[in-house]
Formats: sequence, structure tokens, C-alpha cells
Amino acid sequence: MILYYDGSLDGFICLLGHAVKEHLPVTAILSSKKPASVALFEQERIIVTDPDWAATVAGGLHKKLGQRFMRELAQAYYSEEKEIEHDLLHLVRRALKSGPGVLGNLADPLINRVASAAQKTGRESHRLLGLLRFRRLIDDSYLACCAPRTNAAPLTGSHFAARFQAMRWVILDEKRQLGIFGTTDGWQLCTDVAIAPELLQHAEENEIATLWRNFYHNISNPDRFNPKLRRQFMPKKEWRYLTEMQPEGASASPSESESESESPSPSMISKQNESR
Amino acid sequence: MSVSSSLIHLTSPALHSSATLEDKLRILSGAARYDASCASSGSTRSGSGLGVAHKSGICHSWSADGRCISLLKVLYSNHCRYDCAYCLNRRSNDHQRASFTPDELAQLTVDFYRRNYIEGLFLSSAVFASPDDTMLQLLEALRLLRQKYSFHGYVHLKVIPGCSPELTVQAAQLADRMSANIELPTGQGLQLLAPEKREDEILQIFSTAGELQQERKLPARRRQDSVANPAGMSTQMIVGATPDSDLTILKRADLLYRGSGLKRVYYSAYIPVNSDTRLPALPGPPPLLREHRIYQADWLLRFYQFGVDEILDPAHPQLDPDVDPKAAWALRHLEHFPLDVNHASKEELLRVPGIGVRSMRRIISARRHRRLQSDDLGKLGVVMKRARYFLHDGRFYLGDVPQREDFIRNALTSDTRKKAVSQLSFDFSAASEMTASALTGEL
Ligand code: SF4
Repeated sequence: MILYYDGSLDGFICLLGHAVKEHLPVTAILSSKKPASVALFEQERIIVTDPDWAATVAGGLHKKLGQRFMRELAQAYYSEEKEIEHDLLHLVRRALKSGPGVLGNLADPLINRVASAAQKTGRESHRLLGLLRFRRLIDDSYLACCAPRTNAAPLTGSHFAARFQAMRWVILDEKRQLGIFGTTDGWQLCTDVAIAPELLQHAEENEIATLWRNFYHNISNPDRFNPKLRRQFMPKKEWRYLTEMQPEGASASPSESESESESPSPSMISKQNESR
Repeated sequence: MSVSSSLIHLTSPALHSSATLEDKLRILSGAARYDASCASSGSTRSGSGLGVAHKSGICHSWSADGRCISLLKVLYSNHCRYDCAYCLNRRSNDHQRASFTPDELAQLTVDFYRRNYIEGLFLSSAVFASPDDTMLQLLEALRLLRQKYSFHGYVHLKVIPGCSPELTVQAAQLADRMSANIELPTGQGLQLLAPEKREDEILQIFSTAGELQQERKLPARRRQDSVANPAGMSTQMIVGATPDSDLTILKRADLLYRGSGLKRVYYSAYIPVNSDTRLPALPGPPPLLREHRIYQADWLLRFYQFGVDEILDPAHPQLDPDVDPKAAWALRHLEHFPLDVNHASKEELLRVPGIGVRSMRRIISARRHRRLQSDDLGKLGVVMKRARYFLHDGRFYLGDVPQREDFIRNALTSDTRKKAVSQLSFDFSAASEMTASALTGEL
């Protein structure tokens, strides 16, 4: 049987709930956002995403399998590796049978695949904690843009919520049009978010960015100059979002198309409800 | 309470020149990049070790020399009354001087923090007034940061040697972590190269901090709830400015860990910035490989239950440049090997070159589920090209050369040597092997 779901974590958790509870013989899991060629004669079923049911299922799994398992599950899921959903369903079935200790069996190919997928996302989200760059906008909110390889941005939400308590802030994953909005008591995930081009950054932004760039270039020790080592830690493709790697006078602009200096500031974020 | 702020005004040097904030930041962060000065910490290289030791563990950027940037690392001032031979900021050097005001520094830190440029502040200073008055200004900046700007991020403060113990106590309430440089491995070295600093004044800072820690006051500001991080002190030692051997250096470090309760000793390869007859004339690049080997030995002391006398002895007072100190130990003790990877204890596994703390844990966990074989070990993070010569899987020895010192040594070094040669063309000795292990600290 082929299961379709909407590609969200909530949707996937619902899918896990149905598949486990009803003992569905699943052959493939497809997210309906990605079109795929489908064998015609297989049975198909579309899973409807229901946030309440998702919360119930997640709560049940958490109770049985524990925090560490759930974190691993979310991280592996967000890796967006091919067919990871299928692996995760198997893993959940096995863990429900023999306990969350199965995760320790790293020499098993399935466990190893899941663990390395989880590690990939975990690493990237950890890197984002350091590499996201916020800019102050004219309305006093702070915006950071990114385009991570895995869907790691949601995993940074609680970190910044704890850190930026008195600020209004947004993290925008431009690749997935996902926005993470800091709220007074936590954070919120919104889909189909894009930048409205008309708003501007705060007057002090360029000055602070320049100070930071100065600091960045100054702190390097010329006797130990080693650009190769730097690239190893901070590959060039990430430079686009880094304030310190932009040429003097330009602020890190999240999308190249908007980098004219008059409006380098895609400052306001608008939630668009029609997806595109 | 603190000394009145009018005192601060009276004693501050003629700092407030017309320099812009941009100039000040340029001068005072530039001063911080040199390894031998009041600003040096060494934390820049290994400070980001994944999951270990470093409170913040988050790199925000990497500078052009490949070092992790995590903190706004600046001097408060580079006006100095002292004249340490190895330091660019010493009194007798003629170069550009600048100082922040407490508010400038606090505001700058907050502005950077809100943009996620940094994890916090690493503050140090030249000794621009008496040690107490210097310290008072630094404390004023931290107070503004905490109170006026409600900053809860990370602050590391370098305590000025010779300041009174009360000020160290105040610092412990404002900073998350403190350090003080021991500078050189021996008191004689200090006397020769930094005659205005006194060893006992530096040790005094450690003992004040040690008392606070015992009274549980050193978690200081906000971590009362977590006993796990008693925010111990750290220190830094310059390698290569005096003729001291690696053995002297490691013995000193060991004493600081066990006697003074220090959390971390940083080492920094001496880079000549002044010409001075008291200093060695070092041709070529700074002794980075030596620094690297000392860091590796230091890891063995802290995480692998090695004693200094297992690593070096008076007959062999220098670390082997060709192999890391753990491999050197294993080569001297082949009678312990090869170990059965399916049965060896934790402690035994930790002594195998190529198995680090993490891969040791993974082995222990994975072998509960099934018998491990050669192919599994790579997946568990074991560096097989080093570990294989010291392991068997219950049936087969995993090495591809005979179990003899000369063969194994050759196999272990041929690889690193190749890399070192290609690196030398960058005028950067043996850096490649360094990067991986400096990041994880695993040996
Ligand atoms: S005290 Fe010595 S090391 Fe520190 S800034 Fe002054 S001269 Fe340099």
C-alpha cells in the first residue's frame, strides 16, 4: 500500500499513527507535494493531517519511547533524505516491539541510516545557531534568512526563543518558504512565507554591520592565514548569508535580486496563504 | 558595594581621545589577535570542541586563519604600564593606543548579540592604571551590560593580576567565566620576561576563585541550579618563548589542574612581535606542531586518565613530533595490544589510538547488540587507519602489517607525513592533521 501525506511533520506523525494502529502493509510513503510516478495497481491511501490527532500520537510515542527517541525521529525526518519516512516507520515499529534501545544498534543498516540522517540535520541545526545573521528592521524586529540543505530551521526555534526573549524576531527558510516567528512565550512555525520588498532596515543596521565586518577582518592573525581551513569549516556557499563575508558597504542580502543598495532590505515578512 | 564611581573618573587615564568607535574596535580587537598579550586565551582554536568543556560551544564564524569566532574578543584598553617582553602592547612599544568607555563596550556587545554575530563577550585589558583601578573599569562595563542592558549572554573576564581579592569576587558575580594568564611555565621565566607580574599574584587569583567554588559561589550569576558547571577558571601558557621542555609545561599544567583546580589550560605557540634580547630568535613559522602535540597530551591528562609520567619522563622530555602522544604511548607498550574489540574494557579502549571518547561509547553500545567486526568499526567513528594495528575482533588481528613497533610506526606516520609536506607549501607546518583532532579533541 502506498501512503500519501502532505509533507509536514504533523502529517507524518498522523501517518505513523494510522500505519501502526491499523497494521497497514506499507510499501511506500510519498509526500503529495512532490509529484512522483506511481504504480497503478497498488493500493493507495491519502492521510489527512489532523494536528490534534498528531499531538495525541506524538504524546503516546513520547511516553513509550522517550525524549531521545523522539528527538532522533524529528531530526531524521527533517533530513529530507530519500525514503526516510519509510525507514522511520520501520524503526518505530521495531522500537514499539523491543523498546527504544534499538537505537543503540548502530551496526544495523536501518538504524545506521536513520542515525546518520538525524546527525546530518542535528549538525546543520547546530551550525545555524551560530551562522544565522539577524538584521534589525525599521519596525524594530529582527530578521534572519537562510536556505539550509536539511529542514533544520525549526529545530533552532527554542534556542532563539530563549535567547531573544524581549525581541521580535523571524527566521526565514527561503528554500522552503518556512518562517519561524518568535512570540512572547515561544515560537511558531508558518508555511508559505515570503518577503515583502517594500520595508526597510533600521537606520543603525549598516553601521553595526560595518563594525562587525571590521572586527571580523581584524581578529584574524595574518601569521596563521589559512583560507583553506576556513573553507573547510565555513564553505563558500554559506557566505551569501553572512554579514561579515559581504563586500564593504553592502549588507548581507538574503536574495541576490534585491541587492541594490537603496533597498537591500526585504524587511517585512508577509504570510501568503496561497501556496506557490 | 563597589568603590564610588568618582574614583573611576579620577583614575582613568587620558583615554577619551577623538578616536571613533570604528577606530577603537579596530585597534582593540587587533590587539587581541596576538597570542602573547593580555588578550590571548588560546580558546580560539580548541574552544569550540564539540560537546566538551566550552560552555557556549557555538561557532558564529571562522576567520581567515580558520579559527572559530564565538565571542566579541577585545581589550578594554591597550594603554599599558607594564613592559612584558613578548607583548605588542608593552609600554616601550610606540604604537596606536585606544580605550573603550564602559558604555560603548556594553552597547556594542548587545548590538552584536542581538544580530547573532556572537555568543557573548571576552574581555581583557592592558594594565592602564593600578591593577585595582583597571579592574574597576572592566567591572563597570560588565555591570552596565548586565543591569542597564539586561544582557544574559556569556561573559568571560580576564582578571588583572594584582587586583584585590574583593574585585575578583565581584567579577565572579558578573562574569560567567574568569581566567588569568599564568603566561609561562615557570616563575623564573615570568620574572625574566614579564618582570612587573608576579607569580604569587596570579596564583592568588586562582585561590580566591577556588574558595568561591568551594562555597558554591562561583557558578555565580545564574547557574545556581546546575551544579554540573562550577565555571572553573582557565589559564594560558606561552609555548616556545622560554627554553622549557614539554615535560616542564605538562607538569605545570597537571599541577594547575589538580592543585589549583583549574578547568582548562590553553597553550599558544609563541609568535615573535618584538625584538628583545631576552627572547629566542625563532626562524620560520611559530611552533604550531609543538603546540598541537601539547594540546593532545593535555587531552590525555584530562579525558583519558593518563598521568604525565606515562606521557613523558626526564629521559624523554619532549613529545614525539611524528606521532601523537597517545600513539607514542601505545608504541612503547605494544604488550597491551592487540585488544579484543568485543571484550576490552572502557579504559582499555580509550588507550587505543584512533578511538576517542565518543567512538568508545559507540562501541560499548553497539557490541551489546552483536559481535563487532572490522567493517563495523569505521561506521562507529573509529579511525581505522590508526586503530587497526592495536585491535583484533576475537578472531583476526585487524592490522595489515606485523605487530612490531617499527612497522606500525611507519604505517602511522607515512600518512601524516604526506599531508605535512603538502601543507608546508602554505608555510604552515603540519596543519592538516591538526584540524580534525582539534575540532573533536579525539585521539
Ligand atoms: S600586562 Fe604585559 S602582556 Fe598585558 S598588555 Fe601589558 S605588556 Fe602586554
